[in-house]
Amino acid sequence: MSEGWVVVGYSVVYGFMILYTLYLVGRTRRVNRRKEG
Amino acid sequence: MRQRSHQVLNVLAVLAIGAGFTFAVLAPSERTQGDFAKIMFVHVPSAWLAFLAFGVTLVGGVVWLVRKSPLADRIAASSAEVGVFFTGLALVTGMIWGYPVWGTFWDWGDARMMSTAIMFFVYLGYLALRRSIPDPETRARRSAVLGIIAFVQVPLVYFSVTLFRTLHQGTTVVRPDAPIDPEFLRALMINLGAFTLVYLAFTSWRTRLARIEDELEEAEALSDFEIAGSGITAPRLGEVTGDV
Repeated sequence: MSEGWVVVGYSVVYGFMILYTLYLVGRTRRVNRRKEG
Repeated sequence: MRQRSHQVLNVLAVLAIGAGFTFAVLAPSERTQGDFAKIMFVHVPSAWLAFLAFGVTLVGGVVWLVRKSPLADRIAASSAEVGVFFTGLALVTGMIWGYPVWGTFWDWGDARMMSTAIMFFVYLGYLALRRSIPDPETRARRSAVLGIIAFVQVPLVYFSVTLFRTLHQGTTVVRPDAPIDPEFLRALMINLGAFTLVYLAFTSWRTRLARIEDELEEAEALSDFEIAGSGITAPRLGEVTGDV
């Protein structure tokens, strides 16, 4: 029971870090495309 | 060279997060809360990094007002975005920690929770304000003023646990009368360092992106612009004077 909430907490933190990284990757690609085009 | 230093920072941040997770797993269970207390290793650094991020936004705003430096404006905006991200993490991890310990995810009367939520929405408003103003100078000036005023909330959030009666526990780490367990403190500090590296990596990446976007916008504004419809474009000086 107690471990379950801890796992949820850490998953949320690392999950959102990965999501924000993916957002930055996508935005960088879009900007680079605009730059080349 | 600059690209390489960004990559090194990103790799360091990932490694530090790995180290932080390892120390968090290996830290002993807390006497009364058991393993629940281990959420502290991600909750506390998230909250502290949010404070740091909004502090950088404040400094960036002041520097822009004094020197009109576009870099200061970009750093302020990037830091605010990353600060909102960390505030969101602090809120969510606080709720996840609160449910098993307090029996509720949220208490509308709690000063720490409510002040943090208000801070989150005010800085979301800061980001919305930036998106709503197309002129770069007006945008920088207004957001600098808002960034300075909004920072008032940071000490309010920090001291809310001592100023008001809250469900949230009081100051834990900086307390000479009841020092934190050394093993807990070590895991907390390693995670704090790791989150700081993540903050630096995100903010520098976001600032770089903002610079390229600004340059693109400037280049597009300088190129032939359409006045009304696709057939009418702005006349060039040579065409007007006949000196083509």
